[in-house]
Amino acid sequence: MRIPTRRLVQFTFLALTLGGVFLFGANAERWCPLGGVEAIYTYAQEGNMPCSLGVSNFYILGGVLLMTLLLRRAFCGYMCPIGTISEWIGIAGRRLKIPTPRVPPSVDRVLSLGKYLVLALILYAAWRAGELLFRGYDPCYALISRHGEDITVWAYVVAATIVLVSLVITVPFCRWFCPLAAVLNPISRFGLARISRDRASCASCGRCARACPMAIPVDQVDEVTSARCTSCMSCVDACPDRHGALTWGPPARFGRRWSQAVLVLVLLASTSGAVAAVYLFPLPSFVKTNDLAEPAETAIVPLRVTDLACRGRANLFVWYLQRDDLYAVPGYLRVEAWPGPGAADAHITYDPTATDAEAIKRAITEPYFDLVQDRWRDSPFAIEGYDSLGPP
Amino acid sequence: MRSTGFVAALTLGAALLLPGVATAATAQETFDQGKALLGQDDFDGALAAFAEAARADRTNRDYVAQHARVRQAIELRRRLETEQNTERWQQFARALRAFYLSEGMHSAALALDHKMHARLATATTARMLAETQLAMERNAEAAEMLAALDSAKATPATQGLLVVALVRQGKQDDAQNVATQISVPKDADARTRYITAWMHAALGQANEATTALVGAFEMFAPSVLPGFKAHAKLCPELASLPAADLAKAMATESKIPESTCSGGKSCAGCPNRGKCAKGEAAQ
Repeated sequence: MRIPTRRLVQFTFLALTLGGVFLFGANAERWCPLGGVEAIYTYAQEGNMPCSLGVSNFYILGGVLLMTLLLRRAFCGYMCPIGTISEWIGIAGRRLKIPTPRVPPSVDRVLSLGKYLVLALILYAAWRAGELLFRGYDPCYALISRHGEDITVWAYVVAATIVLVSLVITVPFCRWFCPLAAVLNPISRFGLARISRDRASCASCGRCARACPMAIPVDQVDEVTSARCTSCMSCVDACPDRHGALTWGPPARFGRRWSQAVLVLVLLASTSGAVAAVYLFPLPSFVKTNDLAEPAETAIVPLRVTDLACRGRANLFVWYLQRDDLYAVPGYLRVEAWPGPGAADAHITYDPTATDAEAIKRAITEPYFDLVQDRWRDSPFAIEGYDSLGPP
Repeated sequence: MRSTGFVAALTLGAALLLPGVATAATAQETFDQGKALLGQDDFDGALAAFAEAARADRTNRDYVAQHARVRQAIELRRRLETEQNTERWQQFARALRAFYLSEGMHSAALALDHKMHARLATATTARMLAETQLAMERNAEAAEMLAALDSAKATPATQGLLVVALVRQGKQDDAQNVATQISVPKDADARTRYITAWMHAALGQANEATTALVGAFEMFAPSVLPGFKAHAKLCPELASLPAADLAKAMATESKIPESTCSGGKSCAGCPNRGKCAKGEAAQ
């Protein structure tokens, strides 16, 4: 049976997401592929990530794009928590015998354009402001942030709307309004794997089309190359032909069919590869360079800094390094940071002939007198292993 | 059995909690000793006390911050004796002055204000000196110093303080004469507006005082506004405004978009989110 396999995969990823977020306080925002899309422009322009995103968003996005190139929108059908929850609500609705009206294809086509509008709005706001301005309205973020500080009531309005509509229409958000779907669709259209229909074996009963959560007319095509196909294989399981009128695999001309295990393996490999890349290639999420000529010899001091949670704090961190008072560090050259909750990594590159590691640590942790505001500013940062009190 | 278990749990809980409570109490006592030593101008003793308090209670960031500020103040006092560069000297002096005032060390602040004004002789140093003099009720000295300022230094802020000093000496007519010659520009900064409000309050002009005070509070950054509101409550002239007017002024919120990363927990609601990418928000 294929459907239970997919349910198992959906359940596993949903459990990992919710368990990580609610039991271990994980920063799931760092693992959102849409975050990677939102951060591309800012990272290219400024060398840092919006708010509390990290370079891990790029790696995950890369894994999802690769997955999509191979398996079409399998991410949506197997891994996305919103897609999973929406689909399961739909199943519950059918079990409760809630009527499920058929959406006319013309209406479906028009509504499908909604995802591109949503994506355009989000990207315009994010790229223009360099911040995730729509985060407060995102129901997914409301969930994974455990009601984050900037969540607005509209996030819950959107969530409630998705829940209610999912009872009567299968995965409406995924079909019509998901911004990530808008990113994946152009790639999914060229996806390698697809559902193939053997005309000779097909009885044209239409059960496959009725079973498709994405309303794809499976019974009317030889190969499902629709961009919205999530490789869920509901159509294959609905087909009464046990000899396989519908199969899944590479293009029919290759004469091969794949089992669902291949799909799961590719999903796991893409995801694992992306996660591994995060740790193997830890690019900094925040880079700021001082306008100084780089000397022949430089040194780097690696630090673990508390309260370096996001880009705003990283900018404040740089502000302390650029101080011009008793604790000025004239030889500071570059900051590379990985902002995050708890203690975050920061590497400071400096000219060892002009300053030293101790001076850098003092600059970061000592209060600074703000001449403009005529007040003292206590540093919010502390460095692991560094006692600012000095020797007892 | 149950009561034994309950007593055991209670004892264990007390054994775990009480040392923490006792440590915190000890740290606070040591911190208070440090404050007292600071008031006696024993900076080294105060520094040692604050260090001890911070070590006794590592969870209290205020102890660490206070230690750091006192340590800097000691260094600033030393550097002021030797610094030749005027701009650096002024930077150190103003930082030290702010420290003195935050600790209620008005005498030390006054001595430093005199040095600053003697060395730099600007409208700003005159204003700072006058503010400290007025805080110490040295009204005659403040009036004499401010009246002697040349036209370049006779700014709305310094002249506003002169009015206050004259009113406090009972020289109402002289104060009124000075006040009528003050022209506050439309683009005056927040501090000038605040002093203008102070002046109007001293002259008994409650409406003008309230309007100027509200305008000043709106222009102060959110991080400095509480300090000025606290001053307004303690300032005899402003505190004597009609209760309703004072309450209205105190309810005023800043209209300045200050980034929250300098003190907030997240970017949520920060008015400078759009500038964060370029690092402007931290300024």
